Amino acid sequence: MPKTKEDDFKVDTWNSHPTKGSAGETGLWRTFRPIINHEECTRCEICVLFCPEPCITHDEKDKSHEKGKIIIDYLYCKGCGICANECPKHCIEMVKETEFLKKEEEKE
Amino acid sequence: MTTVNNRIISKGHDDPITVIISGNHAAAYAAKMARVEVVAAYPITPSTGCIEKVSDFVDGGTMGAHYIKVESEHSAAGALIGASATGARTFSSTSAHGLLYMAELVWWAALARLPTVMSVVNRELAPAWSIWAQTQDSMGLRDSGCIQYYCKNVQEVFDTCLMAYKVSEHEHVYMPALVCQDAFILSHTNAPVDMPAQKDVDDFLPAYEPKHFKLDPKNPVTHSSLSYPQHYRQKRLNIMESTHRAKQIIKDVCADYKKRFGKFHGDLIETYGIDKNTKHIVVSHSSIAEEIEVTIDMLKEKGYDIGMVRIRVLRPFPDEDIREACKNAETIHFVERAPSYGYKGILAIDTMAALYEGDNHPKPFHHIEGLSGMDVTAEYVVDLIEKDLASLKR
Repeated sequence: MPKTKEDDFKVDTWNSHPTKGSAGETGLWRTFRPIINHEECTRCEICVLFCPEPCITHDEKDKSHEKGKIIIDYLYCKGCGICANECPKHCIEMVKETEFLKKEEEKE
Repeated sequence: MTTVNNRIISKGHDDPITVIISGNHAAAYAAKMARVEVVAAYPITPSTGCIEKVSDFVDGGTMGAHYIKVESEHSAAGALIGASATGARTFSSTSAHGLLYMAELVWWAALARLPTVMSVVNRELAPAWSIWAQTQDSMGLRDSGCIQYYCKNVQEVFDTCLMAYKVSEHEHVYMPALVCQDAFILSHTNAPVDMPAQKDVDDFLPAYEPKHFKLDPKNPVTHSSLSYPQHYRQKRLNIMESTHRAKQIIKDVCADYKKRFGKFHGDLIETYGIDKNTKHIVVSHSSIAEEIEVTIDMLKEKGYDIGMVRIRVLRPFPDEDIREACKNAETIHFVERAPSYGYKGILAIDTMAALYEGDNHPKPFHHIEGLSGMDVTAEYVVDLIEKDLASLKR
């Protein structure tokens, strides 16, 4: 194959490798915050399966149950409410973010 | 199905052969010999013959491609984009309204830098309903970045399809290509075509191995997702640079093809009867140009100092080559099938812009001829040019 002169020209395309939070901390978009009632939660993992982000995982350090506690990464949770809607035990409650923050302040 | 390095391969002939085939079949044979891996197409007159032949090859087991049956041209182009992004060599064929229906995805393939090659049979756009030759369908996509070749005969269709893969898959290019031929005049006219041996084609055109990106589950990438304005300039200028570089690469590939197989149809342009002092230049394209070769001979016999530039590649535009060919020209006569409504012929617009950047500015004459496949005879063009030149003397 005849080649054009050797140089460092490269075809540049729009590729990005999967990284955590490449669009920024999308938790700031949230109006409603999902809060899990860990006592009722059976660790069925349906919320993990349905979370579109996905930002629901297990807390591996937690030993309260053989599978560990289900936790939500609030830095990226957009508050879509799909987890609360899908939960068969209805143990995820969507709380208005402003009310949650007010309660937190009161606690302090 | 036979596979080599996980790639399905096609069976080909061991020795060079000459066959009598139509332009549609020439493109189909080229796709087979290029060992195309994925074909997706939707039939439309007059390009149906091409994909019928490809479908015959696949069905008969002589072409090891995946043939994806789709519900529209839009889906066909979408399938090619997906397949090409995984590193497969892809092919399709369409015409007129089919091409315009897939126009959105032709742009997508270009901007995503996917080197798919399509055989386009240039056909007039409706209304009124027509199925005959006119090149506006593909020329309307000339700003998309696609490399566009316009062929003058059936042999050139075959050779150009093979060369188009080599150019488009060059690591500095990665742009799709449209290999265009005139409806019926080439697509349905049988002519002898020389084909090289399969092993020589394999040697000329090795398997496609993308270096810019590839969709691969083992190394996941997100391609072409939302991007912010500050990133666009660099990426778009990269396309400008690639398409500009393609000019030299096309010349190199054409020279290489000539050396290997003895076939040469010009590179970016083809000149006929031109030396550096030629006074009158005819600029034309596609199959009309082959007829005008006879015109040039007739006019030369009458004593005119005349020659022809056939624009073989419309994008990237061969501006330097045209300036060189028209260095000492006094008049330039455009005979073309492609009007840009509201201005002039499409070749004329680009050619005049190219000449403006040079020192010599020949007087232009514009002729839009052969619309909807109207026959343009050599004698008719002789008459046109003589009238142009007579008007100068008045």
